[in-house]
Amino acid sequence: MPTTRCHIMSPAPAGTARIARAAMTVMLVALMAGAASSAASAAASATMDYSEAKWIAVQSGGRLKPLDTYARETAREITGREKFGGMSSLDLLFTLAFKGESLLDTQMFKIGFRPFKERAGLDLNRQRFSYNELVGNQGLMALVDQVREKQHGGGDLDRLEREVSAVYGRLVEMSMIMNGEEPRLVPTPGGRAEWLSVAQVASAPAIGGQIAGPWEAMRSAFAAGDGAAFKQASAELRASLRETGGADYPAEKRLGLELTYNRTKPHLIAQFPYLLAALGFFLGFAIKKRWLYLLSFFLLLAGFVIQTYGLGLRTILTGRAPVGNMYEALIFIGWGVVGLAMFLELMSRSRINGAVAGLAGFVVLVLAYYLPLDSAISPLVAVLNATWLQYHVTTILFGDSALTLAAAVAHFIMFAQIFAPQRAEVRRSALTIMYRAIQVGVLCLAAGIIFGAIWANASWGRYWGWDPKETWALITLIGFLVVLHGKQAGWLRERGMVLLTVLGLQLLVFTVYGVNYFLVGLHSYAGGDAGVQLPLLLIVYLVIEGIIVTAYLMACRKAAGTAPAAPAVTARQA
Amino acid sequence: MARFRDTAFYQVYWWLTSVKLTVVLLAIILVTLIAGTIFEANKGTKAAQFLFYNSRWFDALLIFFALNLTCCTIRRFKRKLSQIGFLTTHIGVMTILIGGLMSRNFKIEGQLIVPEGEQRSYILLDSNVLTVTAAKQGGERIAREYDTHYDKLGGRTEVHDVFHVPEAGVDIVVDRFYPEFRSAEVLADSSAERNPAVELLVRGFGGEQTAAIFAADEKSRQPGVAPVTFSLVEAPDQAAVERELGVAGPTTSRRLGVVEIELVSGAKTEIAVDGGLGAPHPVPGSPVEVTLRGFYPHFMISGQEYSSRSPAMANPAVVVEITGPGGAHEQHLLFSDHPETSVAHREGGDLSRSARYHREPAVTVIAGVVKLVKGPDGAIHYVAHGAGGDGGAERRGTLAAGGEAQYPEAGVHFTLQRVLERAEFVERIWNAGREAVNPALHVTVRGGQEEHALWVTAGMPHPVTIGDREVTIDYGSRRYDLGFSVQLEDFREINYPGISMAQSFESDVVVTAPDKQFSRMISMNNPLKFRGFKLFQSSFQRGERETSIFSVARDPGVPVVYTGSLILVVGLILIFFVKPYLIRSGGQRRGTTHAGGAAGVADGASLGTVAGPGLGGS
Repeated sequence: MPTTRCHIMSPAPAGTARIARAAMTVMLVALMAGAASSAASAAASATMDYSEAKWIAVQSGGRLKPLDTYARETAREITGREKFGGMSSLDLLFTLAFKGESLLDTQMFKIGFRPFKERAGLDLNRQRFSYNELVGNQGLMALVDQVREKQHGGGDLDRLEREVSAVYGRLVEMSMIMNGEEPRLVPTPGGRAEWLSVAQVASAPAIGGQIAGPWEAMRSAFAAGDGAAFKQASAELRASLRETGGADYPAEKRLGLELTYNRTKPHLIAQFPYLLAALGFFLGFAIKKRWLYLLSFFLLLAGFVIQTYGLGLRTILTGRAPVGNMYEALIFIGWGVVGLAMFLELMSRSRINGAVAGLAGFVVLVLAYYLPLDSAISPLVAVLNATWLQYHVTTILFGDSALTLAAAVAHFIMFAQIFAPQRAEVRRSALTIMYRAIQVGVLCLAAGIIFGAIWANASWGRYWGWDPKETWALITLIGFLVVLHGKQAGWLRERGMVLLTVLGLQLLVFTVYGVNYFLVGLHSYAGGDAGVQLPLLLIVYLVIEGIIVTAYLMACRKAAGTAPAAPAVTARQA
Repeated sequence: MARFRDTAFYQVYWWLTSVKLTVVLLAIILVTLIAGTIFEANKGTKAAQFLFYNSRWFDALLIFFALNLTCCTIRRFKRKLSQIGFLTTHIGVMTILIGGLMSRNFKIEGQLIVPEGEQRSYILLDSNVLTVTAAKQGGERIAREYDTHYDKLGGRTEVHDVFHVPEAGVDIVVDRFYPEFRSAEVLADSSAERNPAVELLVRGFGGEQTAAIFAADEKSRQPGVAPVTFSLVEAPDQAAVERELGVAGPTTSRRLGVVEIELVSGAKTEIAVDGGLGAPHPVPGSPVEVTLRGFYPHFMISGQEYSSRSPAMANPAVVVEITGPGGAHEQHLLFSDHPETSVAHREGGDLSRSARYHREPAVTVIAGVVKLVKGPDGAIHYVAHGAGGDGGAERRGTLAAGGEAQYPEAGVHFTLQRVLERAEFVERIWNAGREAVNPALHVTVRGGQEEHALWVTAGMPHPVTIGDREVTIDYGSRRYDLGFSVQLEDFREINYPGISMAQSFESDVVVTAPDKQFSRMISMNNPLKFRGFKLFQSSFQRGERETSIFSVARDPGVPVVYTGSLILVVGLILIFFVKPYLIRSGGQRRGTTHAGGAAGVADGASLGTVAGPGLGGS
């Protein structure tokens, strides 16, 4: 019996931080769970009205954000997705805060890493586990202790240990929400100070009443399933928090923008017009109708506008160019590919740009969405927080977009050769586009590298340091220069250029993605967050690429055999 | 002219103008760079810089490339307006290459490391030197510096160099280089005298540590991971073993505090926690008995049980049981530091009015004592006591090698690893990594008939006496005198709100030159420029006093490289706009026969985009 009150009985010693307190809480909450009813009822909150609550500002991850964003990030962190078991992220957050015990036995935590499950002795066939299962797991908790000790000693964690640490972080997060230690929504005076949670201010008489009062009202409204009362109480809480915060409280307008961004999900939506546009353009090769062309172009434009809107919102929210991490880099590349292709399409009206860019944009956005990348808006590491960085990364990424477009066109040419070898004119105009795109890419890459050098000189006092990432940017640049000059020298014709461009894409992928994981350097603190599936995905991609290239080479040989009079299309006349 | 065309010079020139050569060179550079990054990932940055990027052969490759570029440009330039972009681009690249060469040869780059409150007037350069200082005849001291590059060999440890120091009449032989020098005393069973000891692996709340416990106690190395003191006693026979184990050792007054109980009847009692655990204490003037059931210096709940996270008095708690007539029973969990959170659990009526636990705040850690007794058969017996109060907190047992003993009251368990008869500590030296973290050289100093070997660790002068003279050997970064000094007043690490992630680092410095003195703040991305040097906030060290680390550079190549970059970018833009403009306005036009139509722009023009900031580096 005495155990049920222990989380208030053992305040952490001054030195040990939140983690220790949270660790204690985890254990204790686990004990509470034994007594609590395990009947999880998620549906009760379906009638809640969060239209006021989601506007409440929260300090988390180094910035101020609306509760809506916090809820989404938390839901993604704990369950791996924003909606879980019919609950919205806000449902989940408030259920945790007000009826946490009902979720203790819900299989919510997604754990996919097999060695982790093996070590912790979890069911290998299951993907999701409940809080109680994990916290009650002696093997896991022993691992957690080991990892914390190692971290404390400054050791580097291996893959399994990082996973343990991450899972533990998710458990702590959940227990802190259940205990009212998160989210931190009560402003403290002075812009930089740590905000407080409801539990922390409940005992402070000065503001406790204004905050804890409405919070408790929200709790009872939530328990009663009374949506209107909940809304009213959250409005009250929101008003008194704004009053407490005064000038430091984020402006309504800013919070509103972020809510809009969360609601509209522009980068997810833009996939669909891109895909439809690509289909339209491809269809256009068979049905040469003007209306179809216009429709496809309109769709592409629509996707582009949606993405521009999304990137614009992100820029306003972060106050910097949206190129801070791998997720942002990917969506930016997708946007750049489509933007450039639309421009080239306006010039050439060949359909190829549209078809290829729509598909490339679609693929890139799908990758950005499904790869385990951190899509949260987050602040930058100190050294990256500079104006020149934005020019540098933006230019480089635009160059990457152009080169991605070139590579996509190269694939188009390969498929054209395989499936429609007789239509040489399509390949010829595609080659023009590819060449153009490479030129744009090389221009931007060169300029971007120079901007990077200027930034490096301003930050470190050296404009070039042979860091792996910058060296690889140079390698990519040189790779595509070889394509351009190889053609100039008369060595490369259609086939050679296509193959080298595909090879160039591999250099590009390695520069953007691979370097962060295989070669460590200064630039790598920009990434490091791609995770589990990457190597597998990469292998699958390489295999498919190999098959396509082989088929293409066979098609080329066949074409040369049957029609020796019209060999490579790029009959060079110099 | 025809004759000139036959000369070898012209042949070479013509060969150098080939675009095919350009393609080949680009491909070679590309492969080299890929190899360089892979080499770097395996052998470390310094080695890659030394053997690839900063090497003479890489220089030669780039100069060759520049030559090819120049000849190519000269041959192809036909003084047409349409070529303006092509020409500009090439001039840009060549300017960058020249700037890079200037950087390589004239750049000064190093680190300025200043602790708070101190001042420094020199920087440490990247190159390491071996400095030998000796007294010449007549008392005058001479110092000789020798350049070394051991730290750039990718972790190679076997080296061989002989430095003659004629002024001092000695030779210095360097035969080993350890980038990450480590030395430790290890316990070996090799002493000439009998010296019994045991080696234990002790795990406590502070981690894991090996301890060596000697029968001759002053030689013991006690573990630091748990406040438990070990001792080892030899017993000649079984009776002595029993005797030693019976005498657990001196108990010290640990002042763990007092529990105060006031009953409903008004009767009171006080029980000292020291020595008061376990036994029932009757309350005078009442039929009630009080028993202290448990003491937990750093209270925690583990599983369903109470326990202590460590023996530190971080959150002391006692469990008190009060029993009265008729089966009345109470149990209290009392916290001395947080009385408001104490809990009472009652059955069968109220016995107490209040229960409190006080302690003196001065006591912070309770030490435990583990006495190890080595029996005549070589078995190790132990008795542990002292932590967790006196009553019932004693643990006993016998250990074979590899056996483990638990002492949860002190939050510690230990494994018997070895039992040694002739124990002694021997110094062991090894290399732990390939990056120059704590570099050291193994040096033999030869003078006349004498020879003296020693390890010279970086940054510390090592004096050696050879014959009648003293030589000092110092290995470390070459210093460069700035001509002014920098004093660090204050260093600040500014975090993003609410998390411990740095948003910026700032240093307040006072710069003193012979003719000038001023204060400035240097922060990330906001360097100080003075006398041609730029001081950048590059990193810092935490510690009792924070230490700020600035990277300092003076690079005459920078303006040239910047100019070249500007020309290059302008050229690239010209390529894109001038030609299409000329084509559209019916101007000159060539190269349309090339594939893809876009070749109007291609035509050797984008040749210039080579290798951005190609040379340079540190």
